[in-house]
Amino acid sequence: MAEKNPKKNDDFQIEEIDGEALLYSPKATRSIYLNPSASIIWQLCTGEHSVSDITAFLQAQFPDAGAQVAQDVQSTIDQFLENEAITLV
Amino acid sequence: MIERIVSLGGHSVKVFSKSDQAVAMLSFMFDDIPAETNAADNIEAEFTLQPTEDAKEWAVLRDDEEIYRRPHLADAANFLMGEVVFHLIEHNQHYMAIHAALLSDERGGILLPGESGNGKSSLSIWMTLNGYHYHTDELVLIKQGSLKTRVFTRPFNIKHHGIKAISSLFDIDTLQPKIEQGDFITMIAHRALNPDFVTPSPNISRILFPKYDANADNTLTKISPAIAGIELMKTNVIARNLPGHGFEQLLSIVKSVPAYQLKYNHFDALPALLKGLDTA
Repeated sequence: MAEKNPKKNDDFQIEEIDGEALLYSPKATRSIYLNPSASIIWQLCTGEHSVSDITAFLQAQFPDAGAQVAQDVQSTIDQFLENEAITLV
Repeated sequence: MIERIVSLGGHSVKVFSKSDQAVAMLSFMFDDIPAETNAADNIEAEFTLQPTEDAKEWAVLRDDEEIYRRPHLADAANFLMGEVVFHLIEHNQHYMAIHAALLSDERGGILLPGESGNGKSSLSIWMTLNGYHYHTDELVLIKQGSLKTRVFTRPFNIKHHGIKAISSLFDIDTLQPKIEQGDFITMIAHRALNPDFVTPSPNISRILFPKYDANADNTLTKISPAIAGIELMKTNVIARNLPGHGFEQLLSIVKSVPAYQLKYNHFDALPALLKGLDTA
């Protein structure tokens, strides 16, 4: 999965509030809470960046977080997939 | 046969009763939810509450077809109340309907959203006994584009697992006959504890997500609008009727008023915890 590129499902709309965000799909009647880092991950799910790229980007932004970043990216991508908010291309 | 119309948010239900006891029960349950203007033109359903032929049970009929029966009038009446609520909101397109209690103080309405069984009614009773005004423990309609509310004001509705907790708050026996008890439910006339009941219901000024947990620490935590939004979405009971499933309206609400998560392990902890609502 690491080399696949996550791409947002267009059915989902995002509303950012104070650095956090809510994703919502009226079609699927699903809503997802995004903390600040998940919100950044969502923005990077353009289909142009792989999961590895996203992890590397966030590790560069938060060098002190170390391996935790990779774990957070993976669990966030898993959450997006479970809710069909993204597809891997 | 006595007929009564119950209305909320432009939708109405007609309920018939065929005995003095049933008439009294309907009055007990629905006196604070009167018929609105033009209610006769928007009847969503018709029900009857009556004793069975052998007079040993109580039955609820919809359009003359029996849909429920129980030995205790309170249980049949409580089932009827659930049906009435459902039909009042089923086709509503102008209000967001939140499964929540609503109480108020001098600063306005405090919305307590939550699923059935999370302790909303018990907390509502405690708050009423401690200076807050009770409006509902079941359903709050919020007008689109505003914080204005319409509420389903009913008796406090306590499931049996909650009776022990509230029995420490007041002497239930002294409230007779303002209590109706069945096998599954106890209903307490809210005016018995809420003599200063006022209408109309207030605008929402704060949101409080309550959680009783005997093993939890007592905490009142301010939560972000995004977390409030995701939690409030879970209690939005007729989202399908609203534009965009009410998402924009819900966001507008959580951006406008502060929201808190309340965890408590005993009523005694509440006075100190709820002071946090006053200083917000």
